Amino acid sequence: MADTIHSPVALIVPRASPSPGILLLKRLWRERAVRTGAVIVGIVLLAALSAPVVSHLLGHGPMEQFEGTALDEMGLPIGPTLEFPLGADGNGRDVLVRTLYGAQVSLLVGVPATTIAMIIGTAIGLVSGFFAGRTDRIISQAIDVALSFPFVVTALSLLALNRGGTGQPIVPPMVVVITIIALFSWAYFARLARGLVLELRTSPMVEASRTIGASWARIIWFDILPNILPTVFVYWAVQLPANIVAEATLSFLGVGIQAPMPSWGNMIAEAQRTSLYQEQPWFLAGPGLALFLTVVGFNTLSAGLRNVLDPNRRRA
Amino acid sequence: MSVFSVDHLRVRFGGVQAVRGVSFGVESGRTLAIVGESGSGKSASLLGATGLLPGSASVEGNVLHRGQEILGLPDRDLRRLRGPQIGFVFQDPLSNLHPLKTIGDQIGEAISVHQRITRRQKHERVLALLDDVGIADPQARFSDYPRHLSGGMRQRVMIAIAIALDPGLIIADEPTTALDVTVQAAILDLLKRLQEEHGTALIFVSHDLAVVSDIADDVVVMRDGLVVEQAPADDIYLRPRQDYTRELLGAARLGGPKSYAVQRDRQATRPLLDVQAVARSFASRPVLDDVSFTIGEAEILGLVGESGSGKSTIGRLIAGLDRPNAGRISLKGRDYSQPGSGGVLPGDLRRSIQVVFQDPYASLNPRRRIEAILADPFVIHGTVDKAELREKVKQLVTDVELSHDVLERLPSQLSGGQRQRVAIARAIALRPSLIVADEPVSALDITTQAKVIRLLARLRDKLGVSFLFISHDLGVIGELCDRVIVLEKGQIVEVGQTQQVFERPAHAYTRRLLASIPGRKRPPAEAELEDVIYG
Amino acid sequence: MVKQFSSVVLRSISTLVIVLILSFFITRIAYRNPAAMLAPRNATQESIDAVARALRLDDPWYLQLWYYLFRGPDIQGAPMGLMHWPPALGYSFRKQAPVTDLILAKAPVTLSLAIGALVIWMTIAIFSGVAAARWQGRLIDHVLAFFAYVGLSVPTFLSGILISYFLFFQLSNQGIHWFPSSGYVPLSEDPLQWARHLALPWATLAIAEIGLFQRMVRASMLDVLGHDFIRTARAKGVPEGRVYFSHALKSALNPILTLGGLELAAIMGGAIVTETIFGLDGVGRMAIAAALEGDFPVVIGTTIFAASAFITTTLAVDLVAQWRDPANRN
Repeated sequence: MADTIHSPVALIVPRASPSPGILLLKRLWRERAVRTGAVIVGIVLLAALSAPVVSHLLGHGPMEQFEGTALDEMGLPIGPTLEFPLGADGNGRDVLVRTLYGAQVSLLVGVPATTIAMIIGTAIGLVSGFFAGRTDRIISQAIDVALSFPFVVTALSLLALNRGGTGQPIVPPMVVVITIIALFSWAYFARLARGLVLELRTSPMVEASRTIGASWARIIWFDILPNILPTVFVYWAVQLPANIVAEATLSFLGVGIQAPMPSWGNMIAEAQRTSLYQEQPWFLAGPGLALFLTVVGFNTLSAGLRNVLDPNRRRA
Repeated sequence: MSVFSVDHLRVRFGGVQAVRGVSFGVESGRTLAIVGESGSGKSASLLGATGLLPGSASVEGNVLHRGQEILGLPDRDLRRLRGPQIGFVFQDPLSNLHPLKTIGDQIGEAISVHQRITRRQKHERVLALLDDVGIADPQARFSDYPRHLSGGMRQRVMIAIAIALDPGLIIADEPTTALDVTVQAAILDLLKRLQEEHGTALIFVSHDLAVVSDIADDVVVMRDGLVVEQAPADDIYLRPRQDYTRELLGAARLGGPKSYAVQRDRQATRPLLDVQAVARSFASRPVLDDVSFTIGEAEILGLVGESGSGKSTIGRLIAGLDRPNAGRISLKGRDYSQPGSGGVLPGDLRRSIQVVFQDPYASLNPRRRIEAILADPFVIHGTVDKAELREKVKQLVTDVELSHDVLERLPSQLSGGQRQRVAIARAIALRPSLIVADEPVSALDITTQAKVIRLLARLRDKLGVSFLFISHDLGVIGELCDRVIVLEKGQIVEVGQTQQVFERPAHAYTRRLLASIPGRKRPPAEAELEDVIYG
Repeated sequence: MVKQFSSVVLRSISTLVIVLILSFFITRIAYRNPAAMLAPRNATQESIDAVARALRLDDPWYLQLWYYLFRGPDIQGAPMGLMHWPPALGYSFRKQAPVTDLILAKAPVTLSLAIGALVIWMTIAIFSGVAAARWQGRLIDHVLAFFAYVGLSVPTFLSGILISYFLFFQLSNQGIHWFPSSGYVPLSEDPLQWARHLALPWATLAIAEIGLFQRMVRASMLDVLGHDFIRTARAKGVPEGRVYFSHALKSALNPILTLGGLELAAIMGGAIVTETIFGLDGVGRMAIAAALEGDFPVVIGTTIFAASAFITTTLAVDLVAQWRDPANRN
């Protein structure tokens, strides 16, 4: 039969390429922002992991007070010494050890909060965008409501409620902080996912799947999820530093992680409140620089990821 | 002396050499047509010569405007040329006009950035220009935004901007490509009239030799950044010297289809699909009204109409992607689409009707390999054995004349033509009795179009599948379809055997459509031209 | 156009109503025994019960919701009910004053802070963002990107401390008293002092926002600059400055306006950190003080105020966007 003859166009096909995963990693690594961000984030992770080791080597626990060795005669904290590499705070605690433990707290609050928000938000956005109609109207209204509560003020009222009659927290503050941050960021993921799904559900790609008889579950799994997840993951990386700052802000205001547990926010608050940073600058600079570095690292990484993965931005 | 000429022009984007040394020129009152397929460098050479490419492009060679070198001129001096000396008309008038500025402002700005002029004078000149380009009631249109106008009106606004300062040269880059065929004819007439009135030199860029055949004095054929052939129009159309020019001429269908689909005996085909008095409206705006027709077994039915005629809506209704507001559709006597809500097609009918969409870039999942995409129909309908699946997929790829190594690729690694073949393969996988093909070749290059058209015809012969072939392009319809339906504003105005409709059209609208086919004045000169492509 | 506008307005109103109803349930959790809080310190159980009856606290919850939203019994002479003018946001037992009055007294400080910062950051962000897009990939682009990333990566409480340390403490130690340490002077009293007192808080808020918005302006501009109509403008011979500021910026403005509205709304709901660091007696500082001393009505009242401010601002931005859309013209 004549139609087995290959057309010339069909014969000119580029050679087979490596798997998409490896291609993607290569493309990511070629982006300078991704490399820089990954290195900084790597340093922050290392710092968080090394906290117990450094604590053991120096013999200083994160909440231990060394009033004899770390404070001078006037009761002021000493500056950097061999024993206290970043000096001490007003209670004679080791600033370096506390800063490293602060990295753990930051990540242990930021990562779960952002991940929970991503999972819940994406699932809700997916349902809203895909099933349209009344479901969509109800969910969109819920998203509007969730977004209209301003973060810090509302977090204040929720955290204020967490104080029982005696002033002692009812639920561990860390759990409350994670819950509140997740409560405030799911709506962004939901809105993002909803928008992406709305665009895809009427696309020729999905209609083509419908005409070959694919089920809704199959369309969501093969057509929709793989095409929205890269953007959602990029947004995770965008939201994470914002959520780390959110935890630090709540702790700074005295309603988040409570002293003596170390958090960059409450360390900075203490440095400012006591004005001790004017005597012992590392008291402020330690947690301040650490927080700055973490946020810069994740911001750079997410900007790089967005350049590579987010098709909307790439077109620009 | 040439008004405008380029000499050994080279344009490079990063590592890609888009234009590799081309030379041409145009004189006052003459029209130079530059013709080539996508990627030939035809637009890049003109935009590069006039400094309109982004800074990342590097342009070398000589560009003379009335004898003066303009390549490398400082931006300020170039700006004084653009507008007063050189006017531009671009392809898609919707994207080329500012969406948030009124057309009056946009035309007026073309004058006021070069001349000191009072508001009232400007207003009057804009009204005169609107009138000149044939826009009725300019006063009422003055404060319209581009989105309020039809495609043809928008292109007239673009032309008004180009001629605002009566330049000696107009560069028109595919000015009619995004337009309906009747509108295209009107815009070509307008450009020709303006050129004659003002003695302007015109450079007209197009992918289609037919479009420029009525207005070109000289033709430059480009391919891969080089000039293939350059000659007076008569020589190009009557005595082409290069194979590629002949191939383009063959694909161009000057003056309508060169051959009609082989006539089949109407009685021999039993009816397959029956569309009865279907109506559809969106937001109380009627799109289809009382549409009835049938498609026979193994028949290719053409559905032709201009934008907004409702032809794609018919396709979606038949494919079960939408429901009518009135009427019913049945396949082999079984009703499946009626007014109502919920899923349209029951499972067994679902596999009988398949779709090929216009844009193969959008209809293939960019994150799945071709093999997974083509295996889908079989997996959904119960094939589980891996080896069997692979055999079936390979057979599909062979059916659409692709080589087996495309299976390992992602859609982005294929050309447009290859992608559309994959889409066709997916459509035939379930051995449907009807395929709805909605503008399946419109996004493809003109030579690729011809190949895909022939593939569809062969698949019909081999598999006995029927096609509803939706297109705005009369030439394609004429060559492929057994019968044709002409749709105007949601109503069928004419139905008949293709050759009969083309040669003895009964309805005025059909006659107008046929008269608008470009290239009527230059019927194909030699029969041997067709051999190049049909051989 | 009317249809578009009314659907946007309706949606905002329904959001506001849901927010108010939600806030009622927060108050029911928060005030465990409002009658006891209101009654005199050594009141007998009987007098507490009398107060509860006067407040109709023994009515079922849906009636109380009705009182809460529309019209309820007076507390200390101030009527209850959110939906009359002025809306009653509750009663602070600690301060013995209606929350609405407390917030309205502090609002001018927060409003001055928010609007002033908005003007500063928008002006700087738009010019520097356009410049970064104009000279994309050049030195100035990299320099602006560096400052933007530093700005948006420094949390407000950190930049606030640094600004107050260097521009206030250090300058004061050198004997230069350009900026006062804290406090607020109303605009109507002395515009110069008003600006002097707000300069450092404005700078603190603006630094973070400039970083965010400069990047956004740049991205949005680059997106628009790739559009065909920009080429048309150049083909007409339009000068570059006009291409950027008249043609491109006009199209790039929508996402910037939207985000600008969101950020402005968030600040109006209380720039808690900035107000705390610079000792500005605004809505946010009142809220954090109330939260720390357990004055729930003030905290919840501020939340309702902030959410309403947010909804109103986003509504205004939506309406502007609708108005700018040619689809809604003619």
